[in-house]
Amino acid sequence: MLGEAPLSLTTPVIRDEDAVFPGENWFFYWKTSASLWQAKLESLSGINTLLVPINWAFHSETGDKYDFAEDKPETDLLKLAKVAQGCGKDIKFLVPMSPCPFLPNGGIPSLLARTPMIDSTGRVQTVVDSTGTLNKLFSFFDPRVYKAYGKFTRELGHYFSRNGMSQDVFGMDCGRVSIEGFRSYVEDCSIAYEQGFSRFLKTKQDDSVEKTKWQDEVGQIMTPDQEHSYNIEFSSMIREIYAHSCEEGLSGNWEGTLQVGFLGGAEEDFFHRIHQKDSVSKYAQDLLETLSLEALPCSALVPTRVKRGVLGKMLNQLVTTSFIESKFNAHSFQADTSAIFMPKRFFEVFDLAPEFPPDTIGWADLGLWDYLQKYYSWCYSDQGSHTYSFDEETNSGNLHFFHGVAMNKGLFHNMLKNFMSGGNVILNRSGLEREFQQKLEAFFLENNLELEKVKLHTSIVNTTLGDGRLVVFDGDDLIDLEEKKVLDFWHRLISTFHINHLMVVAPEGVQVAWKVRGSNTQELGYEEVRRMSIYNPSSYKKKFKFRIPSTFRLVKVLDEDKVKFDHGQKDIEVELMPDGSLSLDFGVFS
Amino acid sequence: MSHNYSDETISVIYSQGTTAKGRYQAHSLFTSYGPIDETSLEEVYESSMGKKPEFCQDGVISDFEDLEALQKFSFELSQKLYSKGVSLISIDQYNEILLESYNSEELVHKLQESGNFLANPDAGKSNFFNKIFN
Repeated sequence: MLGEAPLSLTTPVIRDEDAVFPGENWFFYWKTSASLWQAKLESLSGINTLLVPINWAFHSETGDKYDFAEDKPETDLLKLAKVAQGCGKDIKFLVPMSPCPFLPNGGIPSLLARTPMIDSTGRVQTVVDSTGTLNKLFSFFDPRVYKAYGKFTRELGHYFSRNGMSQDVFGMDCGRVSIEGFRSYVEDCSIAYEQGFSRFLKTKQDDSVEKTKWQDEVGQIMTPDQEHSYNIEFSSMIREIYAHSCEEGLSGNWEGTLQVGFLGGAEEDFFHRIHQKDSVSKYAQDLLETLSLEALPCSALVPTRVKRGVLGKMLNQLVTTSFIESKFNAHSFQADTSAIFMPKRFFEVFDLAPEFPPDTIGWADLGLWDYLQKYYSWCYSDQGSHTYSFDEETNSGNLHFFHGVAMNKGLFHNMLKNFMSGGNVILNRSGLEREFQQKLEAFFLENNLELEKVKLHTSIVNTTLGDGRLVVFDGDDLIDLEEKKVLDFWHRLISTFHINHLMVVAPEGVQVAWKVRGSNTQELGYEEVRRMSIYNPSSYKKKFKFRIPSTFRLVKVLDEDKVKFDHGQKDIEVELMPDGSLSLDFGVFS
Repeated sequence: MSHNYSDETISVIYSQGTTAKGRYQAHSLFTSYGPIDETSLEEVYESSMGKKPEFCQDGVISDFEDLEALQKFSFELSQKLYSKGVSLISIDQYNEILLESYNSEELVHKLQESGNFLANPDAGKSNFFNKIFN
């Protein structure tokens, strides 16, 4: 198999360090004695941010009585915060808002772990941890669990405020990447879910306000789309209970929710992993996918032996020293943009919310992801169904993609605000409601905008206002086009935005990731410095060549490992051995 | 990668009603080498069913009209790989075993010992001898 990690022939001995520090600045405080915390954290050099997940079950076996520094010294989070501060680490606590795949029972106190989670195929949801232990996950839709969770967050909040703890607390939505994007471990088809959903439907039916609607729309039988919509509503409602508990219980420390994507935690990984057939190629792909979703990748489930080679390098270069610092300490680096390499993005793509029926046309159906992946490898942010809000201060200047079918007043307003402030927007008008079509036409007329109409597989309307550009096209016309024509459509459309990029069409299995930092005082000839990192997680030698655009200058070659590299004035040729990697810094000017 | 399957039992975990048409689906087909590769699954499915599978990924394939069709496919796969035989495990049986298992090793061992076993009379015959005598 491609990029398969070496098979261990003996039972692996887990080093204490690996258990306590499972990767990417995470610290499992319950895995070691409190008396060793100081020594452990002192040994962690070159790391500013320490991520500490709070283990619910470690503080309570029953979900009723809580231990915060009363019996077990390892439950003393105040001490841990002080030790971390003494070691110069900025501690961020993570409270699970979903089952945690790295904990037994998914982190639920043992007395509450009653209803195993079932996935959509009927299998008990189980994750293999880094030691080969099977962590069975239990339903967060069980009313006993969400009632007890409220108590947990209240107790935790009291503990923090009683002790004057000011550390940031984030809600941790654990999940994994899939073809549909980020999938939380909350998703469940267990009996607890089914019973809850039935109660939800019954309440809706009994609700006097909803009753007419129910009878009119649903009658006796729900259509699959209605059922899907009610399922999403119910699921969101229960998830809201967890989010609300956190916000209320931890109000003083609450910093919002963070999606955490676990490598090796997907359903399709399970049968590979029980046979110790970890696939480095797949994890490398999942890692970059997780980053593009703006979720935090975590390798806590992946055995150390698998992380020794190129995967470990990717985790270190793309997550530990880049993504985590930019995510948690963005404000510290705003003043000096040359201090840290941040993930490079050209595109922000807003897709469909889960409420839409599964057969609604999204960007994947329109071939956008295939195009961006091929020519702008991972230089995009998959915003999924996140709400778009324009903010002049934080505006990235990236090209934004929106769907007409997902349009609402807020999105419409923010989209036009972006355009009027000099932003670039591509709107797929398929499914755009009449109200917004009329508003858009009125906007064009009121602002005297010149409309340029072009026919390229579909009708495209282009308009400009200052530096801003708005392109409207009809996505429905692309559905039946052959793949080559769809790629051609995107290539020709996106090339009109004149994005200053070094395109590398890497061979299959090779991953290319881009980061960027501002230029420093010695690099004033450049607008910015971009770092291209190339990784070969496959088991084959890969050779390829690419052209350096006239606006790029190679300024540094670094992290050469198992690679042959040759460059002339205009071209670079790279030959990567399996597990090989290379980073190149380019000074970029316009 | 080619493996010698002569001492291997192919475990097949299956369920009914999880596909769109409510037919049978094989959730996982594996031996101690791990999940069976997609190419082998697809080849046997096409020759056994006379059509392309609705879904095929490493170790997962669907759909099957009934249990008999799934058994036929599994047996033919066993013949193609010259494995010892094939063992069919229902999803309920699988879940029961999973909940009783602590780690991967224990789970794999228990799954190999479970299910409805169909022996392959051609087990162990290599491709080499097959080519000579056929």
